[in-house]
Amino acid sequence: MRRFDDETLVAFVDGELDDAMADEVARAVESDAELAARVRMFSDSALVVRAAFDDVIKETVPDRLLLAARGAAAVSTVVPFRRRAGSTIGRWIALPLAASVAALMIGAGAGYWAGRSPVAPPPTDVASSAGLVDNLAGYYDLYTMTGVEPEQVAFADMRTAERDGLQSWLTSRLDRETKVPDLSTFGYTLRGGRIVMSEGRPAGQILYENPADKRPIAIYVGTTNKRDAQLTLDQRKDLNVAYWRREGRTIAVFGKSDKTVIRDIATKVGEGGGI
Amino acid sequence: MTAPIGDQLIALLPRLRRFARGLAKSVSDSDDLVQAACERALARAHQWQPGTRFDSWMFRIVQTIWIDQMRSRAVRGEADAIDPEAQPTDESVRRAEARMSLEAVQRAVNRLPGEQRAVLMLVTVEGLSYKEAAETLEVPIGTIMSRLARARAAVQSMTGMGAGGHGGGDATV
Repeated sequence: MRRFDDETLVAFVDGELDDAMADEVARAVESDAELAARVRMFSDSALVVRAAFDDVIKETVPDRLLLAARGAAAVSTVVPFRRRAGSTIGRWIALPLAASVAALMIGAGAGYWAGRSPVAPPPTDVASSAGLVDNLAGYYDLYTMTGVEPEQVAFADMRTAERDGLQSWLTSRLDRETKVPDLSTFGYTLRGGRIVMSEGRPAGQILYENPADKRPIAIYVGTTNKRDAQLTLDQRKDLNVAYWRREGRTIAVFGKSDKTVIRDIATKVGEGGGI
Repeated sequence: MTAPIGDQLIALLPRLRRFARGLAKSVSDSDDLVQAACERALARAHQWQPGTRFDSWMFRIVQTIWIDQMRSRAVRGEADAIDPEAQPTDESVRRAEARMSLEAVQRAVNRLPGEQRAVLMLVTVEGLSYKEAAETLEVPIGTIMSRLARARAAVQSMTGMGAGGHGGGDATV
C-alpha cells in the first residue's frame, strides 16, 4: 500500500486534495488504523487551534485600533463644529456657532456624573443640563442592558437597518423632519430607533452597533426652547457623551467608545454633510 | 485617501487581531502589530486593488511588519526575537500543558517557528486556502503544505492531545 506523507494527510483533512487523490487517501485510511490515527490527529489539532483563537473574535476591539483603522489620531480636546459653506436648512442637525453661544452645562457634583465638563458651565444651566444628560444616559443603559447581540431582542421600538423608513417613522412621531445619520464610515450600522422623553418632550433615540466594537452608539434628537450651545463632551461612568443645541434641537451622541470616537461622530453629525 | 478601505478595515479588525495574536507573544504586542498594520495600510491604500481579497492583503501587511519587528529585535540582541526552534524539552512541562486549556494551545502555537505560525493562522484559523495562503506569504504551495503539516504535528506534540501515528514530517522549507 502506498505510504502517504504528512503533507498529503493534512491536505486531505483540509479538503485541499483533488478528488482522485482524496479518494485514494480515504480508502487507505479505512484499512490502516495507524494512518487513520494520524489523520484524526491532524483533524483534531486543527479543531483545537481554531478553538484556541475563537474568543479573540469576540473581544471588544480596543479604541486605539478603531481610531487607527479610521486614520484618526487620538485627540482629547473639545473641537467646536465647523460650519460648512452653503449648508443651512435641511440638515437635521446644524452647526453650533462656537463664538456666540453659551455652553451647555454639566453638574460636576451630580450623583450619576463621574466626569467633568470640558466647558465651564454657567451656573443657571447646571441643573437642567445635568438632568438632561443623566436622563439620556439612563435611556442608553436601558437599551444596552437588553443585550446587543443580533439574536437578542434589543430595546428598540422600531428595529430596522433602513434609514429611510426610520426617518419617516421619527419624523411622524416627533412632528418635525428628522434625518437619520449614516455612521457606516465609523463602522456602525443602524439597528433601529425609539421614542424617549427628553426635557419633557418626545425625543428620538437612534441606535447603532458595530460588530467589531460591540458598544452601541445612541444619538438623541429632541426639541428645546433653550439657546444654541456648542459641542460639549462629558462622561457618565464609562459612558461618553457629546451634546449640543442648535435651532431648537438638542442633539446628543452617547457611547462607551473612546471619547475621541464619540467626538468625531458628533462632529460629523453636527456638520451634517458627510452622513 | 482612506475612504475606500476604511470600512473594510474596521470590519476586519477582529480577524486581524486574531491573526496577530497567533504571531505575537502578548496581547499588547499583537495589538501594536495590528495598529501598525492599519497605519501602513491607510498610507498605502492605493496599492490595494479592488476585486482582490482585502483580508489577504491585510494579513500580508501584518505578517511583513511582524517579520520586520523580529529582525529588528534580533539585531538588538533581544531574547526570543527570531523564533527559535523552541520546542519543549522538558517532558513534565509538556505534560502539564497537555491539560489542554485553550491558553495552552495558544502558547503551543506561539512556540512554533514563525513561518509555521503564520501558515497555521492563515489556513487553520483564518480559513484561507493553500493557494491564497501561498499568495499572501509569497511562497510555493508545497511550502505551505510542509509548514502546515509540521505545525499541526508540533501543536499535537506540545499539547499532548490525540494519538500520533508515524513520525512527523521533516521537510525543510
